[in-house]
Amino acid sequence: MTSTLPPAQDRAFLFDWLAAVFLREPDTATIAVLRGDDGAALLAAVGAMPGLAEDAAALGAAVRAVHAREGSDADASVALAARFGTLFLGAGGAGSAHPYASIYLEKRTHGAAADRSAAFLASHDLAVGAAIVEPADHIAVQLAALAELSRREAVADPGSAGSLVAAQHAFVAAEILTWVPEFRARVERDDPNGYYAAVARLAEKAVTGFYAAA
Amino acid sequence: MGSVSKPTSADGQVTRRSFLTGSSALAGLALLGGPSVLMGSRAALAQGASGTILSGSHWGVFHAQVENGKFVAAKPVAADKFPTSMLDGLPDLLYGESRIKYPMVRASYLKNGPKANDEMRGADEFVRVSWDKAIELVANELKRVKDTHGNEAIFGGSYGWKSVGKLHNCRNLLGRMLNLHGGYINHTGDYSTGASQVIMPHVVGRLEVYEQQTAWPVVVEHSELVVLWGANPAVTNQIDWILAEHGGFEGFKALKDKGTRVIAIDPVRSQSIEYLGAEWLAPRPQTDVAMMLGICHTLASEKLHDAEFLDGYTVGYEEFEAYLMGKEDGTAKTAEWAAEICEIPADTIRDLARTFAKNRTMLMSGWAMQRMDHGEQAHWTLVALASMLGQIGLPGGGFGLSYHYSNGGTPTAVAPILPGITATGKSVEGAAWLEKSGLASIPLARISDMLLNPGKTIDFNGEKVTYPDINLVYWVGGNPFTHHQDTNQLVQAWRKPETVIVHEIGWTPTAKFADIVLPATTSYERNDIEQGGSYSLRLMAGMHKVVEPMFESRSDFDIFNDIAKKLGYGTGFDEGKSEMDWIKQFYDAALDQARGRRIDMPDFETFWKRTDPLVFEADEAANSFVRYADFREEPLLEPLGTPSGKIELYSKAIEKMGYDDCPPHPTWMEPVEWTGAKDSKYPLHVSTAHPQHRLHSQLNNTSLRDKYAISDREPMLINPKDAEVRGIKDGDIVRVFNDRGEILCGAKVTDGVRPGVLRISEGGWYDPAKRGATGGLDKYGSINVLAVDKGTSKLAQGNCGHTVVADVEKYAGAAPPVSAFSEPPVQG
Repeated sequence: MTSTLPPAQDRAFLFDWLAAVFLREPDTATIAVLRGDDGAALLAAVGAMPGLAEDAAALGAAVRAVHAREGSDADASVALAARFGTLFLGAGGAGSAHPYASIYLEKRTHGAAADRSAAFLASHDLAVGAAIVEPADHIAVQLAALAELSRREAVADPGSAGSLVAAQHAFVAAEILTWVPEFRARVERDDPNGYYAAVARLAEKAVTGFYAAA
Repeated sequence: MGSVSKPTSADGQVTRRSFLTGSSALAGLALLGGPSVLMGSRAALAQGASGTILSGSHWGVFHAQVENGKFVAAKPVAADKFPTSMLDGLPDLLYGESRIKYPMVRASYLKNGPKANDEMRGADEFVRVSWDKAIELVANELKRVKDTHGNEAIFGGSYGWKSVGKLHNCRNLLGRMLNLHGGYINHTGDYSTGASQVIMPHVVGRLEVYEQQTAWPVVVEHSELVVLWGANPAVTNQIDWILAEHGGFEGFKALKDKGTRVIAIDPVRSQSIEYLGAEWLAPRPQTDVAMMLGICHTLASEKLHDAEFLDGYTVGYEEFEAYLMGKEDGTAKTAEWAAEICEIPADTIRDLARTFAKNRTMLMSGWAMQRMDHGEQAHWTLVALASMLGQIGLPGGGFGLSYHYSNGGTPTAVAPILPGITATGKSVEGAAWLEKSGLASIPLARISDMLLNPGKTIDFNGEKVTYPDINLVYWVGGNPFTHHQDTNQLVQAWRKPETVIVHEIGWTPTAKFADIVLPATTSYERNDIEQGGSYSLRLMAGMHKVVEPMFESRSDFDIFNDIAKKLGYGTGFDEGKSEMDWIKQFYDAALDQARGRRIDMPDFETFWKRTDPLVFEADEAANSFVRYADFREEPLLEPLGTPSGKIELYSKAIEKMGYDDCPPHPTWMEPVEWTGAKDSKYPLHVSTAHPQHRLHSQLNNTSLRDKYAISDREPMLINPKDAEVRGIKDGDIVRVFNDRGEILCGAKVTDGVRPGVLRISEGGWYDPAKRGATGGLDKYGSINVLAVDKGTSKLAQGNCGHTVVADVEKYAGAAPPVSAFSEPPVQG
């Protein structure tokens, strides 16, 4: 393990949370939590992970800013849902930052990149959840895969843990780093101080920083 | 690798908190997540299906190749002897960036409801909602509008080319749902033959434009001269209103092989002209009527006209000849007079008259000449010309208005007719798309006028039409933001209704201007059945589902069924039948017909298992069909459906209407804008013909664009003379503009377009630099931004998509990137 690789449990929580952020819009309750003391504590804990301090703070600031602009948690939730729609669902056909590897590598969805991610999942006896209609190269799926492997690593014996770490490294290098920087640039382009820009930067810095070559 | 842990719970969900040892400061993040993204899977990687599946489209019947659960290619079936490369674009509809994935609602509309109809429509962001929520919103709004404003406030006209298929006919399905709800305002007419389909009944007593042509074998055998007038069948016959079977290409090939002389009249040296080696005449656009009148005058003055035919089969020639010879208005329509207007030399015009008269001549006209100001006159004058030649009803002679459309002239097979789902729930005789549904019908090309001027009364074919006050627009299977003229005015008009609902496959310009957007499946994600060849009915194919619906897309049938049930109409929509029940019902009805006519057809189970289409053959009668032969042979026993029973070169019915813009005989009238006007503000005409690699706007959002886009934009053909004075070279991004707007295109300098004319095909996706605003720059090249929104005349109120004058200049500075189809990469 390199010194930049945070504890497996922490990685599991972080990647699961990021996956959820990329998969679903924040509801009113989530906005309220993020704005409050519990949220501040959570974001501080995120910020304590290697390389994530600046963007964890930016995310908190962005939530407070959208709340201030919209006037309520409910309206802030709609505003962020609208951003989510534009960025990650391609709604309105402009300003999108599609969250799929295939888009950046092959200019389409459900490309070979999706097949590779699905194969990686299968090799660990995993698959995209039945209720989810997205392909396996969706960033949420890729981050969830890292979360699950981290979770297994947390309770594995050292030998198994080592190979789980190696698997995460390999997946990040082959299937995530090939496109996430460009994805993050697109998320940032129209709204660099926004909530999703901060989230995209957190995701990119986590995968690049945690799994940096020894 | 021997993981110690078993991460999955009994239902396969990956559990998160099972093995936490010690505490993590981040544990609270788990509360902010949702259900698991992943599930356990002990099965070997579930390979998606691979194989070949039979389906079909407007572009032809094909075998869909499926690999690992993905639609990778559409390969034409053997029965298609002239397949189109447009099939290559079909998989992109499923996997392209512009796919609509979930039900979406415009953010302002979600927050403020109807009354959010302002300049944010078209500019707003969208919020995802569940299907339950979407259906509830739509049903509630349909109820609210009905209760508050009445059904006359609902516009369900929804014009467009949709997808083929007898069940998943989204326009009929919309009408069906709205009829259960009490009715709606429908449209009448279309953008294809808006003027012609209204005047032809007055002239020849029938619709004419969508009727079978003299069979190709007859043309090949008997026509000594074929005139291709404003038609490009090599391009337009790639598609069909139903499945394409491309028989028209067989006809044109036989014509070419025979070496028949072909004269083509077209401002562009088209693909058809190249293929046939035709002689090319390029008149000034919008002057076909004048050119024809010059030919008619020559026939009359040189006594080449067939007086006997005119006497026996027409009425009104006396009045028409008086107009030709200048007795009516003091101006003889001589070849010189015509030459001045159309820029074809007088000698050539006289030559044409003599050549037409001397040979067995088939005049094949496209529909461009009637899709412009005073469009009614074009085919009326053509019929007058053909009447003077006296060859109507003779083998290989006369005129044909549909050789370029849906492969007209391909002999009609001995085949049954598949019924389809209807809007009214009743069976329909004759042309299914003419089913009369709706409380009232508005000439569809007056859509902006209708939205902007509720209560206004207009003339239409001898009647008065009063515009309703529309508060809800529901559009499926169509793209008015591409097909309607004067886009900037449409943007303004579109702010009028309180609610706009759209079903679509991709984020078309129209979907972007909706309040509620529902993701529809493509034909390849559902089952259906269809015939091939609008005129030939030569094929019948099961359209088998190729892949499961992508994301949360659903068929229009399922969507409307849910809405109908939510509104309390029970099984009124689906009659308790499933998709396959309906398909079998349609097939069995055709099978009954077939049995009655001793046509060989298998039972449904056998048919549905087939991996190739059924093929029906034409009989001798069909192979030797001559249009109007029966009328010519027995004019009294087979009269035309006109008041006189004959061809009307002078119409008393039209005379009675007293329209200043539609006189009672074929008449040349200057278009509202044209390059022959003495004070024309803009020097160039824009020819807006159908594109080569699209069906109107369909498939613009696919990799087919790589074949034709220039500098990422819609291509514009420009003559070297016009290009040189403007410093325009191949590949330049250019700004084409007039008083109605400005668009960007990519230039191609070629002598294949005559001077004074630009060619920019219709169907390019409107891509405004400032979304939702009026008057801005269209970055991709949607030519209807520049076209005039006006009815052809009080008679037909048809659209004038070919009436466009403009100018062009090289675009100064860096052109903003196209974002109609995908997001441009981040610069630097």
